[in-house]
Amino acid sequence: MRFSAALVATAAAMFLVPFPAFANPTQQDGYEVIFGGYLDGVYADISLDTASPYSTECLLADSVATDVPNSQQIEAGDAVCGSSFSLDFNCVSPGGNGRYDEIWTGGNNYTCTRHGAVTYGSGVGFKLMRTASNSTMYAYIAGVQEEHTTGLQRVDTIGYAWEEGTAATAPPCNNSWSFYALYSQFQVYGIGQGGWQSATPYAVTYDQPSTCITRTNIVANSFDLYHNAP
Amino acid sequence: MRRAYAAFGALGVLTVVVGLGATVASGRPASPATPSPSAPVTTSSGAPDGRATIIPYAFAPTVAESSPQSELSIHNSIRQLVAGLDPSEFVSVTLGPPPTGSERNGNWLYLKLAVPSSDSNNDTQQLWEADLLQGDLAELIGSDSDLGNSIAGSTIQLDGSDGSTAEAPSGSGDIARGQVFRTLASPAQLVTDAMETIRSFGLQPNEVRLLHPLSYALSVIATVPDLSKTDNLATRLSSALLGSPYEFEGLYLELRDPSGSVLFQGSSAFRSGVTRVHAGANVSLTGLGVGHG
Repeated sequence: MRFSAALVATAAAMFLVPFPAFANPTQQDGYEVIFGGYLDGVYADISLDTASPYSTECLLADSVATDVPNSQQIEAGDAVCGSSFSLDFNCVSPGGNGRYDEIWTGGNNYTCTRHGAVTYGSGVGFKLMRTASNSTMYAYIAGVQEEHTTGLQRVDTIGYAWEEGTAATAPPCNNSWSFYALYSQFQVYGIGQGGWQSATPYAVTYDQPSTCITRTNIVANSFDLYHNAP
Repeated sequence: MRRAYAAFGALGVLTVVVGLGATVASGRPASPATPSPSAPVTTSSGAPDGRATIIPYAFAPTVAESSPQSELSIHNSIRQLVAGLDPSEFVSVTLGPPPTGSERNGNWLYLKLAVPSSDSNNDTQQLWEADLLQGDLAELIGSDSDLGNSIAGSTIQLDGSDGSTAEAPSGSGDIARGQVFRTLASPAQLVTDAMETIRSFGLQPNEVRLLHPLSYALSVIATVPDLSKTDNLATRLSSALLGSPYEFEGLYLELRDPSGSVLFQGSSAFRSGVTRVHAGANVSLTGLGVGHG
C-alpha cells in the first residue's frame, strides 16, 4: 500500500506532459482504514489460504501502518508473486512466495527483509507497534520482533490486503488471478486511544479502475478477503 | 570524505569482536513480551501474537552446516569480507549487543558507511555491500540453521562527506545457512556473460563488476536506450543475470536513461535476506516488474 502526496502529484503531472511508458503509475487495490486519530499499532492474525497471481502482479496479505503526511510506512505479511514480477527486487522472487517486512522511507525507496516462506492455511500474527510516543515502530512476525523504522511520527492509515500489478487493469478485475485470506483478531492500537480496539477496513484503489478484492462481513474482529476463489 | 580501510582497522574491530565472542551463535528467541500493554491478541492455542515456527528460506541449494569459527577467525572473516567488497565504503564494522529498545538477543552488527550525503537516497550500492557483509558474516560466525540467529540485526549509520549523518533501514532475514551460489565459469567469463545478457535486452552496459566477499556478487550499471521498451525490465533482467539456481549471492542493478540519469537502483543480498529499491519519482516500479507494499 502506498498513499502519498508525491504519487498523486506525479499522476497529475502526467496529464500535462507526454506520457512515457516508463512512467506508468503504480497500480494497487486493497483494503485500509483511515483513522480519525493517531494510532500506535495494528495487529492481524492472517491465514493465507489461496494466492495464485497473474504473471505481472504480486498478491499481498499483510498488516500496514502508514504516516501519510510524512510518507513513511512499515508493513509485514505474506506475498506471492507472478512469474514476471517480484516484490522489492527479489525479496519475493518471480513465481515465488515469501514472508517479509518492508520499510518505505518516502519516494520510491523501499527496504524489504525476507522472513521465511508462506505457510498456507496457517494463521500467523503480523503486528506493527511502538511502545511509547516516539517515531520508532517495530514489525513483529509470529511474535518475534523484527525490523524497525524511525520515520513514523504518527500512523493515520492502516492496510490489510493488496493486489499490486497490472492484472486488474484490462479487463478490470479479470479472473486470471485468485486470492483468499482469513483475517482474525484484527485490531488497532492507540496509546492515547484507550488501547486495542476494533476498526473496519474499506476497499480502496490507487491508479486502478476498480477494487477487485471483496471483504466478508466483520464478525468478532474477523473477516475474509478474496477474489475469484472458491 | 572517503575514508581508507586503514581507518576501519584502527577502530578496534578486533577488540570488539573478541569481547563479544561469548555471544556468538546465541539463539533468536521469540519476543518474551510483546510491547502491547493490554493486547488482547492471542491465538487459539493461547500463544501471544500468533506465534509460529518460521522456516528459514533458501534462495539457492544448501549444503551441510559449517562449524562456528574462533574469535580470531571472526576478526579475520570481517577483514576478508570487507576486502572482497569496496573497503573504502566501510568506516567501521563492529559486533555488539542489540541496541536499547530491541527485544532481540545475540549479536548485533553496527556498520558505518561513507556516503557523499546521508540524505541523497543515492546510496543503494553502498547499502547493498553492507547487506552482503552482514549475511556473509552470519554464515561464517554461527552454526544455527537460521542465519538470523547468528546476527540478530544491524544498525547502519550513513556518514556523509558533507557532514550529515543518518540511520538507514536495515534487516536480518530468516535465511537458511549453507546456501551454495555455484558457478563453473571463471570470473572473466561471468563478466562476459553478464555483458552479453545486458545487450540481449537491448541495453548498453556501463559497468559490470564482480565482487567476491564470500561468494560472487554481481554489480551492473546499464543504460536503457529506448524507454518505451521497459515492460518488467528490472525483474526480467534480474532473473537472466542471476541464473537458475542463483549463481550469485547478491545482485545490484542500476538502470540509467540515455542522458545518464538514474532511473532505477535495485539490490538483493541473498544471505542477509535484504533487498532495496530506489527509483526516480516519475518511474513506475510496477512497469519495471517490481512490486512493493
